[in-house]
Amino acid sequence: MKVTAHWLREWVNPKQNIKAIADILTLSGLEVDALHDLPNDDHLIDINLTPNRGDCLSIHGVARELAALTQTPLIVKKESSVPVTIDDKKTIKLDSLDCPFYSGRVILNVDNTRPTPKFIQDRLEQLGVRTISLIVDIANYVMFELGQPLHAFDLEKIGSTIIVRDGKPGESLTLLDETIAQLDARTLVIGDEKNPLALAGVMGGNDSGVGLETKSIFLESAHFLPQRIAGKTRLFGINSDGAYRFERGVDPKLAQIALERVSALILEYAGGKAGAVTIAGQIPSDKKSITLRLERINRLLGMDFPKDQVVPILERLGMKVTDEWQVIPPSFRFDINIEADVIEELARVYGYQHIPTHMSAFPIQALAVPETKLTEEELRALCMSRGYHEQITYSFVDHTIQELLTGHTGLPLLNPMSSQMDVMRMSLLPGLLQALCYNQNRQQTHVRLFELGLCFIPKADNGLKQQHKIAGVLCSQQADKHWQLPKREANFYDIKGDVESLLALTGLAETFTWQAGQVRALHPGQSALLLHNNVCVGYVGQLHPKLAKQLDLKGKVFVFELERDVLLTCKTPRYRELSKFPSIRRDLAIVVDKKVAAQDLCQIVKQQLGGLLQEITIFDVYEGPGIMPDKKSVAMAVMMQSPDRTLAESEINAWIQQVIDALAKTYQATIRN
Amino acid sequence: MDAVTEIIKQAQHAINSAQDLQALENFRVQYLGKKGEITALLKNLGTLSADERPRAGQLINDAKNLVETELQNRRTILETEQLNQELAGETIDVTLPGIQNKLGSLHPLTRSLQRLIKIFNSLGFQTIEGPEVETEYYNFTALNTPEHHPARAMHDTFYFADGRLLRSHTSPVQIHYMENHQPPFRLIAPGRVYRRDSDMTHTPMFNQIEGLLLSKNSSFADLKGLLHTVLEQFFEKELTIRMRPSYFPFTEPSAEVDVAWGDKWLEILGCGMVHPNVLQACNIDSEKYTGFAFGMGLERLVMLRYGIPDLRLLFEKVAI
Repeated sequence: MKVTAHWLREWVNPKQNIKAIADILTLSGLEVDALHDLPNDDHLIDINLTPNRGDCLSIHGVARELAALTQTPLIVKKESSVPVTIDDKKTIKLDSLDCPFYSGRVILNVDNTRPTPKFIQDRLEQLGVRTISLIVDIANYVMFELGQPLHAFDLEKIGSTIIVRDGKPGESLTLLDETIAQLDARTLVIGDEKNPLALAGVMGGNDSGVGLETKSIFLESAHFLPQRIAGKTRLFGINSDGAYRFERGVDPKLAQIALERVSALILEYAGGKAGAVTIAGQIPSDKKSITLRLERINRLLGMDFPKDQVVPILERLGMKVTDEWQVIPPSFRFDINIEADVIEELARVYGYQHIPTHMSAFPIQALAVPETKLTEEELRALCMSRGYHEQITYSFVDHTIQELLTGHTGLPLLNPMSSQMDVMRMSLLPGLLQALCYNQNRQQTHVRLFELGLCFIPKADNGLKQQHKIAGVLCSQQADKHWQLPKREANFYDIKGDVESLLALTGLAETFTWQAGQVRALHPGQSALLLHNNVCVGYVGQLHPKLAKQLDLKGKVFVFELERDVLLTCKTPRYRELSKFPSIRRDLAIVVDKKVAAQDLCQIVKQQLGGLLQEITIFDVYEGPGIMPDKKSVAMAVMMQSPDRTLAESEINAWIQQVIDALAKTYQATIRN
Repeated sequence: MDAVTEIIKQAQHAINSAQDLQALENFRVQYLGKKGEITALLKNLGTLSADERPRAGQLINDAKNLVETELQNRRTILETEQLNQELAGETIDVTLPGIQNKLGSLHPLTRSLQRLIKIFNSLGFQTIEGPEVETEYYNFTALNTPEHHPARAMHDTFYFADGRLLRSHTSPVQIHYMENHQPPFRLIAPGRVYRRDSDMTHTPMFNQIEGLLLSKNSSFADLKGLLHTVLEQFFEKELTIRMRPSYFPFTEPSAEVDVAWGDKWLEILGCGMVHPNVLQACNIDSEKYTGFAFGMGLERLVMLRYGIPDLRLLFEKVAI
């Protein structure tokens, strides 16, 4: 909402300068966004009006508010009234309760070709409103002055009865801006006996509008209920200053005052003779009264509100207050309906800055700190300590990239920002791989990135799983970057190690297992599924080289993605006595088929040794000369210890033989010489 | 007994002239070995008369002890010298870099969010999460914003074909929580929110921290106190803040909080006392309980904290 200082001061003239006035308005809820200088020491005040304050969408409204805030009298304007000199009139029929009051009059023999008076032109231009023709400009001027939107019909283009009614399916109406509106029962229409003429409170029709050639008009000034007008500009994709006001609430008492004001200006500047005002319906009666309680004011605001200020503040705002504090809000305030609304009025006029500051609502309260829960903060800290840089990428991604990576396009947005952000991500990889690409293009050859965030996975029943995931990407020409260490390209085991340390953080690593598996986006021979209690909760592997190429990525790229929540449960440690007896290491080098998984070999050792097994470590894997081409040699260090005795040599040998036998039986393993 | 004095003198000279441990060992053998000169003197004691023997024995033993001490002292010196020499040969360039796993980094939004969570936790606010794909009911209707309410136009919302939407603020989390809990409680709900907007100060995705406190005695004055404290803890300095009346359908009274920053007032967050309609929609007695809610824009706080000029830099193309 824009107002100019000079125009405003015609309505209220407080002693404060314009800067001080802007501050007063801002601090009482009419935020002044900007103050622009105009010629002749005038100023344009741009107010960022909240949707509840439809009453301030006019010079009169802002002046009324400023008068209350500065305790300066409002300069009362004499209400216009034009002489009735002709008998012409229209019949008005109200067929909808959403138009409680409608008034209008005929004016004959106007000359709409005359120029708009300069003061009206200037003021409309200052507010950024385009001038159109004399009659339209006058109606606009009065709307900005008083807040009542009015509409003028060309009398020769409408029938004899004005009907306010619901739209009918199949009807259509070409609006003033040439939009073709398809009507239905949701829309409120002004029509005559035959046709719809205007979208009530929103915009007139092109066929019945006023043009330069117009000689006679029917001038409408009505009250439409906000909830009936709300949403219509959006529905039809149009802009309307009238609808903007009606959907926020226009004072029903304004309709007749504004009709006379516009009539007077038309007679003065466009000539013509006015007929009598025809009225249909009734101006809605006063609003219901609201009970206001001092203890409620004090409780909500946290202070002893000065009791003697309550009634004066409310009265300045136009409210009626009885001795028992029954409050009746004025007809122009659509936003005051309950006690809390009245208390806000008291608080904002009293000044938020004068409300005290304290913190008595926060008695000490201990928060639960469950040791069995990890936090996102701990997961992030671990990723960071392993060299990963955190990314926050958009939750909407390009459907083509998502399909490339996951085989699904994902949940599409109805109104995306762009085609590169048109579906909800099902995986964090699209965002991370794009970030990786960006970094590679900036000569970064050693990149580790991670992200934690929600993914959106459509389900078969049209449902949606919103799942927190954690994912990382890695590419590196030199995994161990140090002058002393040999140069080495990063490989699968680098990123797997990162995931393993995340699992180790939970203290429950033994509840996770790995399984070679096929993941669409990954290298078929270098991808592993992570199982948690035998349910797949993530994967790790090399990005499929074909995909890497399609995404313009250089070199080998490794990725992981896991469900976050499986990482948030952790184990509380229990004390266990250290064994006093020596632990014994035995190395086992076995030869097995290449396809046998190391994890399965370890599993056999665990099963055979049970509680005696302290730790098992694979310290060498060898394929090549000396080993059959389809075999590999796996060397394991097995640490054994008993809690209650020293293991005798013969006993250890017997256990190890048992392990060897089991490995031979299950996987045809032989001992390597 | 001049012979003893002479041997001591010679031994002392020999020991102190020894240049390495081997030479020293040779001298030890020369004087204290089985055939050593002092050992020989001791062996000769038997040849002396019973009168002379105690005194001479004493004298020779003293000489033996003295030489042993001298030997030990010299040995310590030579050992230290030898070690020092060895260590000198192992000198390296200590300014060369260590073998390290280079640290990664946290996103600035995360750094600040983690601090804010700690500040709120210290004031007894627990942290909860909520969905980002929401229904109209949770994002608007339950928050006292019925269909076609002009306030809905304040948020340019992303929609899906079935009518669901991307939450345009974190306030729906309040509703989810209140549907399942009775006051008193205090909580924060940080997370991503979405509005169809993109320029210097708007991105289509940004982060808010929702806060909610309900109790039998909480007031607007407490809200002022809380926010002032939290902002000062966050920025680690004294701040001038102001609250000015504003409008949110789900709070009444409502306020915007501005912080004095240089010569400007910067809008930091919106807040207010929870609207009775919102409480009633969640079956909470609005006569019995009052409380407040607030929604902080994390990006704005982070931009101020780290001096970041353009909001979009936080999400797009950040080189590491």
